[in-house]
Amino acid sequence: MQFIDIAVASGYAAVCLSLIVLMNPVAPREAAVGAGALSALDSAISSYIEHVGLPFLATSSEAAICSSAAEASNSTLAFDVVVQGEGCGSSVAPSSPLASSSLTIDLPSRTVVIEAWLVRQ
Amino acid sequence: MARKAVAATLASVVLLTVLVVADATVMSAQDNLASTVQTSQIESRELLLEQSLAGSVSLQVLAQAQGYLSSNPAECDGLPQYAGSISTSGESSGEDSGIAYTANATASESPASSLESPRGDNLTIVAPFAGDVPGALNLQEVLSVKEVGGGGSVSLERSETHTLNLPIKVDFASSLCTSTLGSLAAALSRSPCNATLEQDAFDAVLPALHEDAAALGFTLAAGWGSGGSSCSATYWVTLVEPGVAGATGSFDWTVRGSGTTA
Repeated sequence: MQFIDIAVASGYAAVCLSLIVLMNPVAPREAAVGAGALSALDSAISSYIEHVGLPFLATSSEAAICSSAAEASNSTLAFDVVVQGEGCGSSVAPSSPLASSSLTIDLPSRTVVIEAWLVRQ
Repeated sequence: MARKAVAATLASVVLLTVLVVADATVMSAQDNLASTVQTSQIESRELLLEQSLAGSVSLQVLAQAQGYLSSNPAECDGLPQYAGSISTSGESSGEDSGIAYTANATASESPASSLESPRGDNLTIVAPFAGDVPGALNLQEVLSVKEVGGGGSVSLERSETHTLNLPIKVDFASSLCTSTLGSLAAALSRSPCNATLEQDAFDAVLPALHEDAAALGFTLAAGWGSGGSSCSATYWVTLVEPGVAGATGSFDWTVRGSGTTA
C-alpha cells in the first residue's frame, strides 16, 4: 500500500514537472521579442525610404546611396543597400545581430535591396 | 509518522498543481502576447510593402511617361492633344515574408486646372514627382494595392487617386511656339519672292529667338525654305528642353512647329 502511495505521488510529481518544462513561457516570449524587433526594423526601413525617396534610389550612384545608408545607421541600427547585386563595400553585416530585415524594391531601372540589422550593444 | 507523510504528499500535490496552473497561465499570456506582436509585425510589414509598392508602381508610371516624352516629339499646334494622349500603367505582384501582394496603377493627363502654385500630394515617397506643378505635365494616377498575410488573417487594401508630375515646361513651350512661329512668319512675309531679303530677315530675327528660348530653358533650331508656289516660304522650328530631371534620370524633350507664309 505504501509502495503504491509513493509511486502515485512520484508519478504525479513527474507529470507536473514535465508539464512545467513543456509549457515553457520563454519560447513565446522570445518569439514576441523577435517579432517586435522585426517591426522596429521594418519601421526603420520605412523611415529610410521616406527620407531618401524612391527617385533617389532609382537614379543615384551607388556611392551616394551607400552614403545615405551610412548616414541612416547608428549604434543600434545598421543599414546596407544592395543595388543590382552590389552592396556597400564598407558596410558589413554585424556578426550576431539581434534581428535583421530586408526589403526588395523593383524600380524601373534597377533592383534595390535595403537591408537592416539591429545591433547588439 | 504516516500522517506527516500524507500531509507532505498532499502539500506537494497542491504545490505542484499550483505551479502547473501558474505556468499554464503565464504560457497562455505569453502565447497571446506573441500572437498579438506577430500580427502587429505582419501589419507593419504590410504597411512597409504598401509604401514601397505604391512608390515603385508610381515610378513605373512616371518612367513610361518619361519614355514617351523623350521618344515622341510634340507638335506646337498639338500640345494639348499631346499631353492628353499620354496613358501609362504599372503593376507589381509577388510574395514577401509570407505576404501575397498585387499593386497596379494607371495614369493619364490630370484634368485641366489653373494652378498658380504647386499642389502637394501625400505620395511623398516619389517626391518631387508627387503633386501638381503649374506649367508642367501633370498626371492623375489611380493606384490600387492589395496584400494578404498571416495565412489570410491580416489583409490590407488601398485604392487611391494621386497626382504626379514630370517637370517639362509645357506652358513655356506653348508660348515659345506661338512667339517663335509668329516672328518667323512676320520676318519672312516682309519680302516675298526675294530669297536674299528673306534670308536676311530670317538671320536678323534668329538671335532674338535663341535668346527667348534660352531664357525659358530651351534650345532652338530653326530653318526656312521656299514654299514651292506663289512665292510662299515654309519655316520650321525645333525647341528642345535639355536635361529634364525625370524620375529615372534626365532626358530631353522636343517640340516641333512649322508654318507657311501666304
